[in-house]
Amino acid sequence: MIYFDNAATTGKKPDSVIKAVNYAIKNLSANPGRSGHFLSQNAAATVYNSRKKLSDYFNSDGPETVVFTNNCTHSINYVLKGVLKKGDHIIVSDLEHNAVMRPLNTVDVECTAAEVTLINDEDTILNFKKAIKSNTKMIFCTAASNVLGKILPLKQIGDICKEKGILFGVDAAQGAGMMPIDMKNMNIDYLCIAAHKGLYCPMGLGVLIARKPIYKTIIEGGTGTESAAFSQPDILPERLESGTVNLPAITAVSAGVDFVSRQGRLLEYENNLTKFFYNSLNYYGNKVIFYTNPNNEGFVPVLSFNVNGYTSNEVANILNKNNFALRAGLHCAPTAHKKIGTLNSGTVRLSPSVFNTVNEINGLINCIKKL
Amino acid sequence: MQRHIISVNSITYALKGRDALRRQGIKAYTERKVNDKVNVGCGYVIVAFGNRDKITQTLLNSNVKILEINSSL
Repeated sequence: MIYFDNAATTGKKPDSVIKAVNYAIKNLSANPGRSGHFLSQNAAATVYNSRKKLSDYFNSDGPETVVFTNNCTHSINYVLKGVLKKGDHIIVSDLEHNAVMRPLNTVDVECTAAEVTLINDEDTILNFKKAIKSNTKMIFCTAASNVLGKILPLKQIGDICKEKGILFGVDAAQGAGMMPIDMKNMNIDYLCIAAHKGLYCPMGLGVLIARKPIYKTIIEGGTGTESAAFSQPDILPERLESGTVNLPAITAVSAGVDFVSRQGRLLEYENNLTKFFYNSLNYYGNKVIFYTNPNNEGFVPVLSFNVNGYTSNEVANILNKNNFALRAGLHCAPTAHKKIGTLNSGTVRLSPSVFNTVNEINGLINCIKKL
Repeated sequence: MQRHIISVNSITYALKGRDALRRQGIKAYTERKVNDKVNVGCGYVIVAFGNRDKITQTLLNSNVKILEINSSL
């Protein structure tokens, strides 16, 4: 099977990540930060080292700002439900995943979706600025769209937030590990990460890097700290880490960060694959419909398309039978599909990783040409 | 040389404090707190050796809150 669904989860994992998981299971099977014996302390030290690595990689304020969660969606929920209160106003983009929109649907706040223009960042920035009101508490937006691949101008949005005294949260599910994200430089207060995507880790791990407080918790329980008290500890990261953490995946995330750091121009390589796909099929009669042009600046390697005469699910089904794994449908992001007019049809999504090759893309192109 | 047992909020801060002290050339390690008082720390402490003022200042500079410090020779 040739895997092109890396926006859902990276299919092939680096050997170093696999080794890290194996190492953790064989040698670190003790609950970190709970007991006093050396095994527990070694496990705790491994968790701490991963916190340090992530804090350094994303330029946060220290390992204590790094919280491990079950997945990026959980991280986003902790931010939105933990920080916002009734009467607040939040600004999101018009490309957000349901991981943002569904929690917001349950929180009693006012929400404005700022339009992201696919070619011109200046207009996007202006749209975010225009949406600000006197009670705007936070701007929360995706780093890059999981449907269209469009990267948002995070630095400029962060500058606006800093100037206006507004909190800035980012859903980096599609960006982390692929594009540079510098929390201090971009004035990002909350960064939500899917470790199993751009950081090439196993599923079951999210990261929340919080440089500002999280006021309310949504899950409480044992943290290995202040155990005599029934109240949840005030201090991060333990405040948001009730229960046992995913130690094998946390061990692996260090290896994942090292892997992406070593790749050099990873984004350029992956984008070249989507460009090749686009350039080969864009003028192939009117067969394939594209919604963005990856040759433009400012995209991660996520490319949506449809094939004339077929539904998106039919195309994905045929590709699956020909051993190509792509995802079709709404990709849990109806907002993005509404924007490009595919809410009723969905799209097929190509999302290569560093492990995909030009030959594999060629094979996919030839398969689509035969449709 | 003086030995100091420093209670902090959590294992995360214990390890952060240990690293901060070691960067200053101060011998330090973490261990489970033996005489655990109710509601003080997480049960983990930093054990550090040397000048108490330098140790406390290093930890404060690193944003490691000291809950309690017990010193002995």
